[in-house]
Amino acid sequence: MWRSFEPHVERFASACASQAVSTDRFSISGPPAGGGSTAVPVAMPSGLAAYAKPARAQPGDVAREWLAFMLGYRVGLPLASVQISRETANLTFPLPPVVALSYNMLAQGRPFGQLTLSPQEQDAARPIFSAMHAFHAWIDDHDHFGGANTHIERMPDGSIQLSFFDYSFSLTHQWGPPASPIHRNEWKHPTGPYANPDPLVINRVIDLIQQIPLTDLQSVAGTLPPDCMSAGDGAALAAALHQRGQQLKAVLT
Amino acid sequence: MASLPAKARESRLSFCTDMTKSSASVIPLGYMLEAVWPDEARWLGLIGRTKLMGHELELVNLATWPDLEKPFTFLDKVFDQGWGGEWGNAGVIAQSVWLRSPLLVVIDDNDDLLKEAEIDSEAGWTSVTDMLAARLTMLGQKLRPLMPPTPSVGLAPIRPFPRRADIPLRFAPHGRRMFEEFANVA
Repeated sequence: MWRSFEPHVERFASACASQAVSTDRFSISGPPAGGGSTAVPVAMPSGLAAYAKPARAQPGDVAREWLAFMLGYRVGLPLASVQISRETANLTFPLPPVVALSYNMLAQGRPFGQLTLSPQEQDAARPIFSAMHAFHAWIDDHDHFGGANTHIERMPDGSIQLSFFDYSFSLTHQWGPPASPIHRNEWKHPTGPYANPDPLVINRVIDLIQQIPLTDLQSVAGTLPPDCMSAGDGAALAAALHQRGQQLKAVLT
Repeated sequence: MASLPAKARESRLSFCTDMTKSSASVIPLGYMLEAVWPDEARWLGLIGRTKLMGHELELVNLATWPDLEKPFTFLDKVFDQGWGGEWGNAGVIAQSVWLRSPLLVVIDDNDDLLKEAEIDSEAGWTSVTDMLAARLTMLGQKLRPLMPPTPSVGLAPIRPFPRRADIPLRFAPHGRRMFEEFANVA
């Protein structure tokens, strides 16, 4: 209910959720993007466009990007689809041995802060930001405050689509097992587009998160190749996420 | 004499019509040219299209990008974002603000442009800025609209290549401000 991507984008997202590792040989389609040159645009043989991340080796980034997508997809949230790839040899731009492919979800998405929304559009966006607020609190994301790393597109029928990407600064990047305190001010007092979240949506998302069995979280984390995350770290992360999920209502509601 | 090497960067600005597809059409919009003499002077110029052709506008989601009906006004905003940041990084700032969006910013270093540049006098500065303006104008000549699609029914008429007059350009030099500030220092 919080995702509304074009059919070809949604079909591919489903495929990404089923197949963690892409074996497609991609090509570099542009120079590195971003202030830290952290992502390189690539062209997939399927015709889809993505960003390979990170452009420089950063341990754990690939795992965090992919895990965030898988968890968000499970809950039905509009995160950019991600796959893991080792097809990085003989490219025109040197990449680390393993990268995350973060696919573009909107055809002409505009950075959220660069578009003025009408009051009606703000109302339409509120449920999505409310749902993402609960999700971000769960995975301890630190890179989407104020609408950062978020794109929005107005469709011809007047509806809006939102896409959230770049999840390197989430999960174990900021805390390690056992779970660090969840009582952070950012979660209790959200600001910007996350301000005034809809409590019904918050509760709904938390319910969905809490319905994910520990075994499912262990299975998702266990899917990660050992060069992305060790089995021990994956198991500990799954346990921490499960525990953190149980704490969400006390913090957010 | 500049104490640190001068640096010049050219940023090509274009608009990708579908970020989900690697083969999407890309509409050229403009160029920024930035020259920096560290701790001494900075020059930033913009050249860009003031309108898109009809067939190009059909590829743009104007509900989300209404400013592309007047592309130079939009580019001027990108220019201001770059001018407001760290010297030498106007293009990088544009990339950061518009990260992963259809506004594509490709940056190339061109320090050789400033190899013979002498800015210690008013005449020298005028000469350098004239050279930079000429370089920017030359870059602007590369701004061609997308070729219109060939009709699929009947014989395709031979279409003349758009004349220069179809691509009106405006040149907006902003760099002289910085030197004039330095000149007033006692």
